[in-house]
Amino acid sequence: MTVLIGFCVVFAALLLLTVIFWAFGAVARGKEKEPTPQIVPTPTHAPKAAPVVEDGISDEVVAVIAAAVAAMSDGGKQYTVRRIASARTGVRPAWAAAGIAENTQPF
Amino acid sequence: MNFWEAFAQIWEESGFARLFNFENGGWKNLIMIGIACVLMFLAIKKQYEPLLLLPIAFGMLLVNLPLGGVMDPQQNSLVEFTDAELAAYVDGTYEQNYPVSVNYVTLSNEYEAYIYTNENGVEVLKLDTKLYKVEREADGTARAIVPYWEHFEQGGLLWYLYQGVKFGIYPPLIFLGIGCMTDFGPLLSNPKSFLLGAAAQLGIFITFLGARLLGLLPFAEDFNILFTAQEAASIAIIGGADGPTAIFLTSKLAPHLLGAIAVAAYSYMALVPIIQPPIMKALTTKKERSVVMTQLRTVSKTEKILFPIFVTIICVLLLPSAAPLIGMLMLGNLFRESGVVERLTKTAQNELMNIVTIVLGVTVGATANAHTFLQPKTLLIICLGLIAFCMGTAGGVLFGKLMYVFTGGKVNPLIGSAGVSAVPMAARVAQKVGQSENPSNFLLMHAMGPNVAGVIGSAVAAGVLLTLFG
Repeated sequence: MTVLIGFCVVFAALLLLTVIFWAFGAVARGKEKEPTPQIVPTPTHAPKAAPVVEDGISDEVVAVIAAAVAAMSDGGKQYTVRRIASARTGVRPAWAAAGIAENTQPF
Repeated sequence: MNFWEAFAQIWEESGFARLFNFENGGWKNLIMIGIACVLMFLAIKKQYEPLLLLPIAFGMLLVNLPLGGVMDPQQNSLVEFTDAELAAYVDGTYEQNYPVSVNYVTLSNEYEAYIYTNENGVEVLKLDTKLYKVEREADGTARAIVPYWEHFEQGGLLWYLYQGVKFGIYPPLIFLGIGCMTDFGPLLSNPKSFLLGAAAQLGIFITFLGARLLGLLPFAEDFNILFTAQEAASIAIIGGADGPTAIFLTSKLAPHLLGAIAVAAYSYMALVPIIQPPIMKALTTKKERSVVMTQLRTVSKTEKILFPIFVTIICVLLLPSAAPLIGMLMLGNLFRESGVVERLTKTAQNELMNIVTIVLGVTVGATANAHTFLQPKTLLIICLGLIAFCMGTAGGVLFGKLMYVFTGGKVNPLIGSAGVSAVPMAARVAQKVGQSENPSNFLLMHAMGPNVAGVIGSAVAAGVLLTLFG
């Protein structure tokens, strides 16, 4: 009985902490999601040429890359996509490598 | 005295003579020296938790070298005066070799017959062969003066250093350093990890039960394997896989088992990569082990600063006995996250941590003398510690499976195994086992959540055991 009580107390203590910090997280996430004023981009000029797309890359991927570039140029400097090619296989993408390095370096 | 007699005398007074005097238990010291050497080998060659295992092993070696006296306690005793010294004390001619402590004994009227005035005009009480000086109070009541020599014998170096373990000072200081080094961000970004840290404490409570049930065996008394509730609790805390917590609790509940429990706890922590993977694989399916978890959200600085404050308030109010461990852990973390006391943070996680690690390790090792360590109980402690560790891992993984089901397959049950503390080794093991199933899976940061929750969980469990059996 003592054992059960002991384990339940440990569980209850950590459950209480879970609830509290889940609520903290919810508040923090709520702040992050507060709507920001949207700026409607005004195109200054049309793209001059369509990008060169490597064979085997689907239109969906091209659309995603174009959208990402458009997001970067949102209201500021304009960028042009000239060529879309698949990365060399067998090599970890730079962002993934940076992410892994950041996550594992302290250990 | 010729050369050979002098040589024989030196030999007889040396530690060698004691060590090879097998009739007086010298062989036990030899075995302990052997064990210390094996532990040193494991620490140096295999690098099993060398930061603590090496000082522990050396402390063990030092205390088992006869006549070294490094753990001899300080002796404060009052020695009675001899008859001659008493007579000299009455005359005031005694030679004061040591400080004198005086006791006054009020005498009843029946002693008046034994009181007389000597040639110097001093009232003296004569009882058998002893003489005591007598004083009179204002109302004429006689009181005898009973002098004692204050005898003081200095203790061994490690005995003085050991007081920090005995009074529970070093483990919380280690926790201060751990707090400074720990990033609770992964736990905050996924607070459910707290529950995995709690589930992994299952091993502690199951082992406690097991250790107590051993006493029901018919041969338990014959083999001296009866464990009291305090001893069982100290053994069970090995399952928390947290060295300072185990030392803290054992020093309070069962200090005579400190050496065996510390050696078992640190050995198993070093063996996490060997002990845990088979249990993790046995309890999970390939599909479960391959689950890729979503990226953790970024935790704000405010959350990180509020975390240690809230954890301290909640845990200490709930379990006041866990205050030294949780308080120091969270103080260290507040130093780190506040970012305004960089000097203190650096000191706590480097210099202070290193100094305390040295004295903690050596003194804990020095408690493992042949008399207390070479017992059937030690073997049982090592076995029960392993069970506690395995059960803790299993508890975490099984709760992870439960979360896998309830979240619709979003939680990889492997991260539950990291709930047994052993930071960051247990999290690394979860990462390694997960990656062996799915090379593109990175569970490390997800496992760090339960891992640091396990530190809090084991400190809370220690508080519970201290409250129940302290």
